[in-house]
Amino acid sequence: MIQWGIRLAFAWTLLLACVVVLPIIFVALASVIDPFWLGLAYDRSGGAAGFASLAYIWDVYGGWWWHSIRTALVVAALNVALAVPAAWTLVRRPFRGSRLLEDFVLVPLAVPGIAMAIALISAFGAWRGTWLVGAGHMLYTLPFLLNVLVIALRSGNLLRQDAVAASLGAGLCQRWRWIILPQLRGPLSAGLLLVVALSWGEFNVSYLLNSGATQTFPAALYDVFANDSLQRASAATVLFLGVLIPLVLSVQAINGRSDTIMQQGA
Amino acid sequence: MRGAIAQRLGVLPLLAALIALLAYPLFNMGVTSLSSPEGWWVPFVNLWEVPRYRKALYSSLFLSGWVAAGATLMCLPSAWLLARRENRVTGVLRAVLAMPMAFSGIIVGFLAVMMFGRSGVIPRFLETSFGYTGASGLAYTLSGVIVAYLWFEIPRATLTLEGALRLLDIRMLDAARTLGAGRTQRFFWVVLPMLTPALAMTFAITFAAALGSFGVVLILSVRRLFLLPLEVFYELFTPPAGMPQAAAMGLTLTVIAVLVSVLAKVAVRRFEGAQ
Repeated sequence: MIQWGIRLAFAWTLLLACVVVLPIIFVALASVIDPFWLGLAYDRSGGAAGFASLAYIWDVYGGWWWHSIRTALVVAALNVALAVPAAWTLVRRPFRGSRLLEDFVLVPLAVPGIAMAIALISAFGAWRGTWLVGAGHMLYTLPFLLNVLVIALRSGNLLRQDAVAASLGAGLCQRWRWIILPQLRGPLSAGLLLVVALSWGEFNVSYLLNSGATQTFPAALYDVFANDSLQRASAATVLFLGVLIPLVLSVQAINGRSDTIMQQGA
Repeated sequence: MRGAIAQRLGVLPLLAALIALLAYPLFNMGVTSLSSPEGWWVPFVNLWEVPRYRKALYSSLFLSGWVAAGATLMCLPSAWLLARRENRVTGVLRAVLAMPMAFSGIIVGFLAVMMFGRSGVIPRFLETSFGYTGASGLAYTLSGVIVAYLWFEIPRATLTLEGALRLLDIRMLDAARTLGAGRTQRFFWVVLPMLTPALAMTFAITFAAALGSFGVVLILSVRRLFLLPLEVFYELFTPPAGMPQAAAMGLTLTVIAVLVSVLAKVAVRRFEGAQ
């Protein structure tokens, strides 16, 4: 009976995986093949074969693409600056209220995205722009990185090794360099890749907090989806997924079992 | 004493950032929602009395509730498989199911147009193979939106459930079998109670995510389907911007999401206490 249960679950999961992948394959195809030949258009007005649409999107929105990459990298760097010392302190020297602080970091995940955007606008509306977008991304990515780091630091006997090294006279820098960082490398890099991926894909908050000519790439996607042809929309999506999918897959590859890192949901 | 504080300086940047970017804005949203020139209660009364807003509130709750329940049940077999079997195949499957994790709603909306819009993949396939034309434009209906939302929730629901299922003690099942419990008995008295915390948490998380996202509907712009997050969006972007009204809506969404997640936590505690 268990055997049959597993088989059914496997078949169902396979089906879900196909449902996830199929639209992405069609988007990739439609970006380089005339939708007419795919049977997705009744005439040949809006399509072209080859890379014309990709080139067009790159010409118009390439700057936005780079802007988005830069934003994601800055967000990741700020994340490290805040999360690494905090995680270390929370694990190594817990204090009254430290659990409360850990829960407080998770709050942005429970608050609906649009409400968080309204809150940020109501407080800092005059400063709409890139930095406010970055602040929004920070709120949504910090819980993941902090969670990963805290779990990694608590697991195994990292703390004991650290205590032994300290008793042997190793300073904080030495311990980080030779004991903690080497063991933290996997979780930290998986967490950082996830931070970059989430920042790269975020639209709801960014779009409301943005102002100015150059915005993050998902805003460009909205522009194209609302105003342009199916093929150009596909091309823009391909340029978006071309960054995102490798990121998400490498998070999975590094982390193996993703549940510890992603169980909070985005 | 001074040493105790000095050793904990590491949390200060995080604490400062959270106060400035999280606590203060949320507090400010509450203040803004009460700052309507016509009286502090007006935005909240509007939420109930303006038919458009009331409809939006209803359909937001309706949509998020059904989507959260549907996604949780839909992903349960997959999460169970991923939690129980650990090999290369399940690794690939997990990676695929996690892929839409960082997509935004607008991408999902566009994928829905691609697959079952006016001349989407599925309607065209049905038309050319079977001559059936009824599926055209399915994406722009309520059922299309529900399908798109369900797709959107696959990664969140699967990974949350998997994490929770890993914590289960499978030996309880064996114990029940040894004690002579039949298949139905085991399912209703062992499996279901064991699963309840996982299901409750997953429901809460997918519910909050569905409640706050507007990208899917922004792209599909289904006629007659009003959603509260979308109303917030329009309130901000169509002049004159009604900041108090938008803040009141945001506050309402926040309170609902927090309530649901607190209820889920209470349910989890209850069941953990009962075991």
